[in-house]
Amino acid sequence: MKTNRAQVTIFIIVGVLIVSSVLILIYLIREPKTTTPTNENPKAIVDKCVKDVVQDSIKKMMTNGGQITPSLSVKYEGHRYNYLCYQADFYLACYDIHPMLENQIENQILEDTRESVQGCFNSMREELENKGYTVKGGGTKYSINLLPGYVEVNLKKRIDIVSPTGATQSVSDFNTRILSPIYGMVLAARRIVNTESQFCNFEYNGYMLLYPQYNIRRIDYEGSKIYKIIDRKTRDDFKFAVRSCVFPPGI
Amino acid sequence: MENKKIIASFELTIMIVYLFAFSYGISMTDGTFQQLKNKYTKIEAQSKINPKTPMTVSIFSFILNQIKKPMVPVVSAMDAGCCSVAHTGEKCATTTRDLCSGEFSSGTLCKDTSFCQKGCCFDANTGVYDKNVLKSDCQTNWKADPNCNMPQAKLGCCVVGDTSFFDTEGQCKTRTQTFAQGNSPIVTWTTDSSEVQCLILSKNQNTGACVLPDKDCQSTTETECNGLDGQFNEGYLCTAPSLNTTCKMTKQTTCVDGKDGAYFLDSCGNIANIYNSKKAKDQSYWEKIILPENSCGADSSDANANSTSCGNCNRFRGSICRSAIKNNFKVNMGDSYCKDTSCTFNGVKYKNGESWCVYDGQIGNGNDVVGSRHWKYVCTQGRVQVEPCADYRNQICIQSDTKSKNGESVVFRNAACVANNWRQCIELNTEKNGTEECKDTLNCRVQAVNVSDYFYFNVCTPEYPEGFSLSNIRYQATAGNICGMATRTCKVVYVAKTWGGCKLVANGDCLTEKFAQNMNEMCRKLGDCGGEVNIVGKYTKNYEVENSPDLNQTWIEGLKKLAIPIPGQFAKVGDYSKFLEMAGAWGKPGDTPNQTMSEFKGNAIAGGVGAIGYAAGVYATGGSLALTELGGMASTEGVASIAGFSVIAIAAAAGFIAGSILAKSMGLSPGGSTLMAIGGALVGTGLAIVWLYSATIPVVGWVIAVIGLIIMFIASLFGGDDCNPVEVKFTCKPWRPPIGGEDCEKCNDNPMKPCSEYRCKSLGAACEIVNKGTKQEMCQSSHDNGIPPTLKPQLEAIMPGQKYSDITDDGFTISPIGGGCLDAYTPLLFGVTTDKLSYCKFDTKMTDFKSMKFDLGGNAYIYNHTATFTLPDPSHGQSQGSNWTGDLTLYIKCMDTFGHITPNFYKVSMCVKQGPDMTPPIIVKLIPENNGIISFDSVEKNITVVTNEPSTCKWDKSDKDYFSMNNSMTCNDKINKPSDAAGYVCTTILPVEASSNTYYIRCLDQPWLKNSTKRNANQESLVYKLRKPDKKIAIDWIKPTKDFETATAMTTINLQVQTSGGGNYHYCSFSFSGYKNMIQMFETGKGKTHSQTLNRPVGTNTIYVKCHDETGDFAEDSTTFKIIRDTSMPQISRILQLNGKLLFYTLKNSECRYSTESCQFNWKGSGLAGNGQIHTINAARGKTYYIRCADALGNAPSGCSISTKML
Repeated sequence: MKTNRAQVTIFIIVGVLIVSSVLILIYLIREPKTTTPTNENPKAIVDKCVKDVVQDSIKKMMTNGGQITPSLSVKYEGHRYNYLCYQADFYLACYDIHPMLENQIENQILEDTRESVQGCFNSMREELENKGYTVKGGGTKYSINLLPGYVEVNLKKRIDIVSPTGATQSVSDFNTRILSPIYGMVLAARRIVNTESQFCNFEYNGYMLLYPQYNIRRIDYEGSKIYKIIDRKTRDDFKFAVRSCVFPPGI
Repeated sequence: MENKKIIASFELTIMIVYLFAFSYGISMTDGTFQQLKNKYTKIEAQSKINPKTPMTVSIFSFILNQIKKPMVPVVSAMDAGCCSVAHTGEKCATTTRDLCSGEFSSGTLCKDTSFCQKGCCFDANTGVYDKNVLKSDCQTNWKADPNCNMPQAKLGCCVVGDTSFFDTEGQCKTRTQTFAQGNSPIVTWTTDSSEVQCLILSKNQNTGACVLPDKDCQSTTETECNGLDGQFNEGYLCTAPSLNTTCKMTKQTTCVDGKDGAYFLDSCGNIANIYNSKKAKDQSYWEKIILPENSCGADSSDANANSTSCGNCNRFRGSICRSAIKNNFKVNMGDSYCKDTSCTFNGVKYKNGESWCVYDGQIGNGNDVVGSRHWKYVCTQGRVQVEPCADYRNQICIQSDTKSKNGESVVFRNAACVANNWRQCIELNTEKNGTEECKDTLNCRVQAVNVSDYFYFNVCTPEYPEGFSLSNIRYQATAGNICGMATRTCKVVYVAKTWGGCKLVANGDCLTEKFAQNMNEMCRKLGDCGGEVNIVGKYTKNYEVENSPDLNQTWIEGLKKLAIPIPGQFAKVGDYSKFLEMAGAWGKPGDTPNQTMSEFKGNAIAGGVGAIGYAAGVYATGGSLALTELGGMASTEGVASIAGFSVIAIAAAAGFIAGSILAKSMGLSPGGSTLMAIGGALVGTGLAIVWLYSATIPVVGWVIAVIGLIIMFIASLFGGDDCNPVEVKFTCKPWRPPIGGEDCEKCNDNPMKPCSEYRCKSLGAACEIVNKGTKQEMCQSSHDNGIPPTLKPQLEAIMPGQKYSDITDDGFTISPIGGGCLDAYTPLLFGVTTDKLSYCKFDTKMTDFKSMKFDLGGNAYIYNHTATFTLPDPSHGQSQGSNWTGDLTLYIKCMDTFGHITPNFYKVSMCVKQGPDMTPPIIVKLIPENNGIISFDSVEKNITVVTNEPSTCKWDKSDKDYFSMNNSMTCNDKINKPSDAAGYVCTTILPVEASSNTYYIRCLDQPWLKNSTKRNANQESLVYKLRKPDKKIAIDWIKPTKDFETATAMTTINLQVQTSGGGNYHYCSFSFSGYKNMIQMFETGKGKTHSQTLNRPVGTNTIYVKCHDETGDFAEDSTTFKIIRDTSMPQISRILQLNGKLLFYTLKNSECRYSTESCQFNWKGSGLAGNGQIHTINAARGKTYYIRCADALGNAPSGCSISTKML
């Protein structure tokens, strides 16, 4: 008898546990599938804003030879061309002053866009709050990756949006990709710099024959060489300067 | 073609390497002059780092010594050094401490500092390797190998899908991870193909139709198809009816990344076969993949360029796929076509990638005109692009044409801008066998000046003369000194004829046009010097010639033709035939005189003529003494019988002497003098006979005397002429642009020849670059306000202890600070400034601008005009024939760039203390310098002593007064004509008997006073020492000597040379081909160890080394070693499990690391199994260990060497 009671008790406990587990599970499974409080799409809002911001920064990088603003540059036709390879003295080959250019550009884009990206979230928040939503945000993980054909924006930030009705929506993945030829152009720029620093010259015409997707222009100005790597498809151009093996006008 | 490319690139590399070595050479010889603390500080500052050595008495040190004279030094040598970061942000710049905001290493070249060492910056994980990076700039890993000769830095062919890249293995992995569509990225990275082969490889990837379950289809590789869970049909197109897909044929075409041709597109967006309008509806053409070589127009010579029907383009043969819409080209269907990538330039068709040289005028043979530049043009995908070679002709454009098999037509043109070796050509003129060496030196040629019988010499000049800055005062000064090498004097020698008049005996041709023509050729071939034209053929005369005719108009017209390019002319790669030809042009080798310097010959001739004159003088004066003595001796003998004859003889002799003296005083010709002397002798004889024999034959005596008188009268009719030598002088000056600015705009005319400052300034004195750095930058004429320049004293241009006084609008006075007159022989510096760019001249007489003798501040349009000189003692003036009394006024006039000349003279007045010269001469310079080292083998040594005033000097081995010294020097300089910039020159040859030799030198001033006691001699001797080294310079060792292994095709080696013995300064050069055309090592001259980093290929390497010291002694040696390439991976020969440990052996010494995760582990973060051949891992049972081993050369597999599970 005692045994039967005990068995029943165990069954009840197990049953309760099973039921509660199922309920918890259902709750947990349903929670992320919260219905969208409105037709608003926070990811789309942020995505567009971030894309614009990063795209502008990429353009800046290409114009300024991989920097937000040129640090050491030569002015030609009103534009400042950032030196990627520079030798202050006469006769000698240049130093590569921006090694690991991809990494540098990734960091520069990060630095350049960090505030604006935060601004994108702020705008989104403001927009939604104006519509009566409550928006909560967590910490941001933000990085940039230059990759062949595109720029990868890795953006993680947990955003909880609560509608006036109490419905909650959470978004954390704001990763996006921006089509850009910058990776290939940076490789070409690195190739130019490496060769200039070793041989004081770069046979860009031969390079163009092998890589017809690029149109490389070189202008010799006041002892500096101004390079423009133009992507034939997008017409984007990466501009920089080199000062290597400069000869004085006499002895 | 390939071979030529290799040769061309080798030449290029050699030029570049030489360039570096040369830069060091320049820095070694550069002086300590520093003008301003601006950008130009750097190169001069660089020069300060190396001690100036006696051996560097070269043209460069000479030049810099010259230009520093009138300037005020600003920075001491100790201030210069290498700065890690300058205020301007420049890194590793040679500058001064006050301009440096980072680390500063005083007196050191940047390459010798630790903070400016170049290395390889790399990230092994991403496979990025950057060369020539400063450690401070590298945020990742840095290795002191500037060329990144590391196995992991090797480029290989990375195949990703149907595309290939030429990357490092690390980069390949990144690409693969990005592109891979399957779960496991496959790295296909091989090193057995070149970049071109690799890029072509992408075309040959096996692709096919990947049919998806829903009958959709994609054109992919098999790997990609597997990732899509499709059915792969290799070699098929998605439109193949047999595949029954949804994809259909279309008329759309497209260009494809990485491929040359225009391709059809199917309705699913897949790439089909090459566009062929005739096959658009041919179902069979849409069945299988047809390679381009089997497609339409595969044999087309122009790769179907601009074809409306066929899209089989080939970038290497002349066409590439482009959008027909963008290029406004009509095609039969679709919107892509094969765009013609060839170019047409000046009626000549060039292939894509072809490059050729374009010039502004004639080139080579020293004929490049002022302002000209060498241009490299390139045909790039249908467009001609210009690539200017370095301005000022610091680079030349060389061209090498590949011809067809029969040699009739040009198949491909290849041009390159390479360094112009002009500096070495100029430098060679200071070396012993420089002219000989010149013939074999790249870009150098021997210019023969062959004017007259004793005025001929050879000079080494550049094949392509350099340009000079036409506006920068710092470079104008050096230009003046290079051009000054062609400032020469030819002494035309005359002797008096017997019966009057002068006879030309030497250098008569110097009086003809030939002199100016020859000298101007030499002058203009040294650089932008002399009478020369600019790029538009405008001639300006920048030379002076005295006592000889100028260049005639026909000659000048010939020079103008140099501005017209010769079609088909170009600088060839390593063409030495011209040099040999030039050498032969002067005749057979045996005809070439050993003495090249005409002055030597001229002096010898002058010496000979002088000796004759001296003998004549002795004959006229000392001769009388001899006769008198002889007479005296005769009378003391008392021989009575001959006494009468003796008297007659004495009388005849006296008459002869009297006649000679009379002849000399009358200035008779040699014939007249002889007659006069004979007449005198007859008169004397006649009178003696009358006196002795008045009783017997007085009539005879009278008759003889009368005959004598008649002869004397006749003799007086043969008057003599003043037969002094004529000095014909050619002064070569830097080129000055033509007045005005009417041609300035021509600089902007041709976008294919972009304007530069040099080019602009060469077109006119008034031309200037405006809107610099902006889009509106161009060459324009400055505004002509019609007002001549205004002059003011340049207050800072004055010697210490002197001042400008009485300054008015018309001039000023130079006087000592304490007032009064200046001391004679003190150096004098003065200058004026003009309110606009002007060319100034001065003279001691009031004369028109054109006739003024001296340039004030050089032959250039500048603002600050200075001159330096020394005033002689006025008490010497009149005795030496100059009208110089001690008061001097210099009359200055200036002309602006439009030719407006100041109407009035600007006067600079001064006076020099008059009175007897009471001071002895001062020895201001000695060559070789005191206590200098001379050649180990020398037995005698030529020395030069320079004094501040004209003097005669003597030397002896013991200290004694001037008059007791036994050895006289040769001192030929005349007052006001010192032959050295420092003063008056005396030369002699000293015997060298021991390792240390001491000589005593004294000088005596005022040589024109001859034996006068008014002359001042040095009261103390200058103790002059010359030393021989204990041992002749020798090369002790050269490294490397042993063969060694490497994992890469190229290896960075450090060539090291140890020298001993010799002088204080050792310089070493190296070559790969022998002891000619050697390149100075980078680190040499500072001690006895010399080094040079070299990038050498695998194989047997022989390096020739030649070292010399300041005495000119040299030693030669070579080293031969093999660089053996070892690319074998470390092999694991055995693996054991022992007491909880994994024990394994490698066949060669290696570092082995492991991971328990996978083969793709991070090297640094992994566990170390050991170094050497035996390796141990403390292993846990059941775990798999992934092991990778790398040898000392860096050879390691990309994945695992082995993986093993611990049982």
